[in-house]
Amino acid sequence: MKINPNYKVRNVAGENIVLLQGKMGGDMTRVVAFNETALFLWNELFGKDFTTADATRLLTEHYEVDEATAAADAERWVADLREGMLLLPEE
Amino acid sequence: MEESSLYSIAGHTLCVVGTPEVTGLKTLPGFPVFRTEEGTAEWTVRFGCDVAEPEGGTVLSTFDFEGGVIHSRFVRKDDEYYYVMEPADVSVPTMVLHYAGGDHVEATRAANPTMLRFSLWMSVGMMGMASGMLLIHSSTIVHRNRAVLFLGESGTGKSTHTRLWLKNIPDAHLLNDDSPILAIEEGKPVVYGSPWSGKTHCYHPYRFPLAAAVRLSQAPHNRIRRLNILEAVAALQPSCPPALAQDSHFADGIMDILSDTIAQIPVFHLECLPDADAAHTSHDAIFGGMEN
Repeated sequence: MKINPNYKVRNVAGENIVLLQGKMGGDMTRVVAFNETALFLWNELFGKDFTTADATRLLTEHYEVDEATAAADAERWVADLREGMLLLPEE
Repeated sequence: MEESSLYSIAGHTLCVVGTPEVTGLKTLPGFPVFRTEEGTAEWTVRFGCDVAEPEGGTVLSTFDFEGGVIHSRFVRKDDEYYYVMEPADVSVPTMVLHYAGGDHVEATRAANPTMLRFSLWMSVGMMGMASGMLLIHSSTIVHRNRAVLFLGESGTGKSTHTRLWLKNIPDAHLLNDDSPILAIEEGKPVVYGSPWSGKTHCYHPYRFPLAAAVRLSQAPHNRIRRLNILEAVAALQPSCPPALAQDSHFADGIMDILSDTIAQIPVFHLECLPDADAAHTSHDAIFGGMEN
């Protein structure tokens, strides 16, 4: 999978966010916020073709966390990206 | 030699070059009070240029205005921008603006007052971003020498709500009814009146510190709530010029300004009726703590 390169994380008033714009002039802007871990994974994996296992490995390498917890966190991170439609559609 | 004239917009000097356009602006509602004789041009819009939309550009957005009388599109090719206005009436020539960054815009002739007004709005929107200023869709009240931005989709009742302030809150004045300018100056958010005020002729060349922003929605009751940072971003962002917000370069500028704004002033969501109590509800939430 790949992160949609059209999205950009911005620091706004201290929060790390991605804006999902709705229709023109509408009220539909949604905001996805990133905590430190989610932002770390985003920065590491942006522009790369990756798997959930890659995200898990990054977490175990970077944080003091056991394999099972890291895998669960990585899965949730991927699920959140998918739900926010921040991943490129897969072929 | 084309004539030129200077306008003072949000603390910057705009030079308009083009004899028919300069003549048109002398009587175009909104512009005369911003006219200035002094200053050196910081921004230039030159009309009567030979510019055309290039082949192979990316259309960032399309939108209609004046009730579909003009179709427009905002196009990016490499790092240059083109704004094309096509009147529904095919006997009126299409107008093209070209902006390659920096402090000047080149445009074809403005065929009518609507296109002249809108081409300057778009030009200031693009050139102003680099100076930390943003045209924002808002009906704006000034109270106790501080500005309050009321935001919401067209038809939500922004103008209705600000009329209720004028009627029911002492020392309330309308600064602008459609497109004031939000700027960051010395780190602080301020609001300027502008020559663009929608259907309401309310043009004031003044600046006020920003007190708060309020997003409105219609409801069967009056209720106000302060928004957290994420909600505040989602409340303000749709009120920024949609064409610019769709572009990564301009979106960076917009978010920088919104970030500085949200970090310093409260943003509220007001669910409201069109009644006097609605005005008191927003007034009390914003200024209540400051009364003697």
